[in-house]
Amino acid sequence: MTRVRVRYQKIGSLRYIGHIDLHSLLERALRRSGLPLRYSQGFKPKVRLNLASALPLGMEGLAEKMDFWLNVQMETDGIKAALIAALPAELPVTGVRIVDNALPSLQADLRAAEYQVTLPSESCAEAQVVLTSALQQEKIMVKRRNKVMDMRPWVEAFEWAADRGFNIRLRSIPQESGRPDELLDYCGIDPARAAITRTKLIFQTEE
Amino acid sequence: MQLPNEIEQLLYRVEKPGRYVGGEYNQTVKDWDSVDLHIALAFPDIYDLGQPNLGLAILYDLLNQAGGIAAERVFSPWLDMEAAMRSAGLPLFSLENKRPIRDFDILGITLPYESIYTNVLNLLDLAGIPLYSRERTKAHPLVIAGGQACFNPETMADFIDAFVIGEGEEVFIEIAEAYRAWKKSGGERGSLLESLSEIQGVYVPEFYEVAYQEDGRIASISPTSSIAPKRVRKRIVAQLPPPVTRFLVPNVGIVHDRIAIEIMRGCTRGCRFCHAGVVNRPVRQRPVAEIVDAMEAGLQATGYQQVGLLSLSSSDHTQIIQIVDAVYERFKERRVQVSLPSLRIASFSVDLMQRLQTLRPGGGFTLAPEAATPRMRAVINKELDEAELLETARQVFERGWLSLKLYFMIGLPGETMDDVLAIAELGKKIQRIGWQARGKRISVHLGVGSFIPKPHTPFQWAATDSSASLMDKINALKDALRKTGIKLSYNHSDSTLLESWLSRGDRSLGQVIHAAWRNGAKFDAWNEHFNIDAWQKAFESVGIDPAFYAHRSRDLDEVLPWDHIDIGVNKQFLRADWLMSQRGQTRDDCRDGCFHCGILDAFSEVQPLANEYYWGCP
Repeated sequence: MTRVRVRYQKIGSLRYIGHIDLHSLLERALRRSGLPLRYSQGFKPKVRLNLASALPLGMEGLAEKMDFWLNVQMETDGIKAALIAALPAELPVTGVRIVDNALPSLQADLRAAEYQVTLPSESCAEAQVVLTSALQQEKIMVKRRNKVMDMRPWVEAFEWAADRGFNIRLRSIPQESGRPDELLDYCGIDPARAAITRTKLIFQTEE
Repeated sequence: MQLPNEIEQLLYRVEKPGRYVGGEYNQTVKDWDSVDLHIALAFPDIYDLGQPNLGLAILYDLLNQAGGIAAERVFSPWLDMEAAMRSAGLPLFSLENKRPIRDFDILGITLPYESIYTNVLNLLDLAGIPLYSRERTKAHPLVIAGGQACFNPETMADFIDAFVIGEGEEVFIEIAEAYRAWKKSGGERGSLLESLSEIQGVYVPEFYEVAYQEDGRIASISPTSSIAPKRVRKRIVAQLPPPVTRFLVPNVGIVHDRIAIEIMRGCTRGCRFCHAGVVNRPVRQRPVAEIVDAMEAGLQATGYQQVGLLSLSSSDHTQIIQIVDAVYERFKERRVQVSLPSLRIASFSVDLMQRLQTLRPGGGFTLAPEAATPRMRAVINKELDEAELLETARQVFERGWLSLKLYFMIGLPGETMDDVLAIAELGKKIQRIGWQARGKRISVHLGVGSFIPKPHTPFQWAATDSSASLMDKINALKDALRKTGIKLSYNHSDSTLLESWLSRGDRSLGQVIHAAWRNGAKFDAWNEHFNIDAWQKAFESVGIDPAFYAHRSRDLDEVLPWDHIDIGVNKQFLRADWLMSQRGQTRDDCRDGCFHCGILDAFSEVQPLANEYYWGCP
């Protein structure tokens, strides 16, 4: 059993595809690839496939990761070529590696994520003021579905990028995963007018 | 594909934004300026329902393969997106190049059923195209429509420039060529419509005049131009073209996540209620190898695991056993789920299904007796021996299925309450058979639909049963099935009323549809959105009684609104069949002997001799 780790991007119109739909999209793409896939056991076997982290709807991802399994050993070049042929253009593959089966799952290994937020240029200066003051507060209470949470402790790094917006690193573990759009909402900035890109996933063991 | 900024800002706030962005695997995006003809293909309901439509997939594939044409898709935005687009002043756009629909040369609209009509008006309005054909100029796209509802085009005649009557595969290319020639000529809109009306299978309503009698019935329908034919004969393809295999793979969940392969078009059974069975004559089959190869290619091109083998009556394909064997042999090592709908009631059908089930188990079994007494089955010409039905049910349970669904219709011509109650009795008999075979685990489900008479069928002269009578029948069935554990579902609702008002409509209903849409009617096919008030007010404001269309029996010599639409089956044949029905007489399957319905006379010139592409006609 070969565990294949794929680094890919989710860009363009595909950023409007939700996590569950992305999962079935990848499953179908893997079947199209003709690779000797490993299936789950059971009455209705499914392609064995793990994604590192759900990317919120509307955001682009430049360094997303997934694992899937093959029944045989194969060269990474061949795997990569098969994947590229089977995936839509807005889901480009940027890296393929074989990894140890004993490693923890991507989800369990994930620690934080970095985002690049671009704001409309006319509102940039004003946003800088509100964001800076928000981050100086002790708590940033945001609402997600019916829960109110403090996301201040999850902000691990923040840097202002002149004339464009900002970069932010947010903790990303179960129950404690920050979202940049929620921060914008908190500051009264319409997230629909911002372009948010997840630029990096940071893991405990995986580099 | 970089989305225009205006669109992006709306997407953040709407449900399932993936519906509006395209980008699917196998979509065709052409450079806008690299082609000289732009065609928007519209299905006037949401993406989730429209995208799986096979007709749309066929035309999309075909037009994009033809040189110099970009065919792009457009669907109705859901309520949230529509509101967002209207408030942002954003016009309806295509999924491929995100171009406003009014920039296209041709807008081709699929009209599969009547409850989609107000959505057509909404779609035109969102696109910024005048609703009425007569208000459009050459600055607007040519608006054409096709699909099963277009066999009676009159109801929508005010809004559509030209209808395709029959199968679109060949005629759409001819329309595109005529359009291209007209565009080069720099002529007026009228000359485009004239050249279209010269194409067989194209109906241009503007060139016909309808005269009414005082009571609202039609006096005559006649062409106003010498170019327009007296009757417009439908188009067919003599031989089914190679099936689509490069299916577009939606990124968001839709109603059918599968590929669909049409194994046969048309039907020889002659059920008198069935619109599809008459208008899609003659029967044309696809050869076994073509079906199995298309499955292979389609699964490979999409990554799907499900296949629907479509036809009006699967077990009537003369090589159905060979098809099932070949599918089994080819796919037995793979996890493919194959569905074979519309099976005849016979143990042989259970054999077929069992073979396919071994590929991937699961699912229930469905049979459609349609009526529960021999008398009613003679009326509708769907003869079936009850013993055979019960034996088939027994086989279904004995061979492993635990649930059986049976479809029936109520409100059929000449039906009595006894005929209706017999549905419950039959359900109970089948339940007992299931208990004997498998014990109390089995379930029996009766699906009861309200019959709506359709144009071009032997029942086109019949009145639709009244709503009160249909409700009585449903209540009687509910009573009869109480505490039996048999599940009953029925579709009688206000939206079936709408179907009965519109399906046999004439041109006067155009203003009613317009008024209903202005009153807020849209998504009428969605039970929870159907707004009967909007429709009733519309009928009132225009001064038309909907019962005139629904609950009136037509005289045999009445001019029907669709009499100038020639489906190849002649009116004398339908009339004789209607009279036979009233006498309880049946006709056999017509592949055993020709009843001269007219289809062969109409199309004998193109009937292929090659046996592989066999027509059902003897």
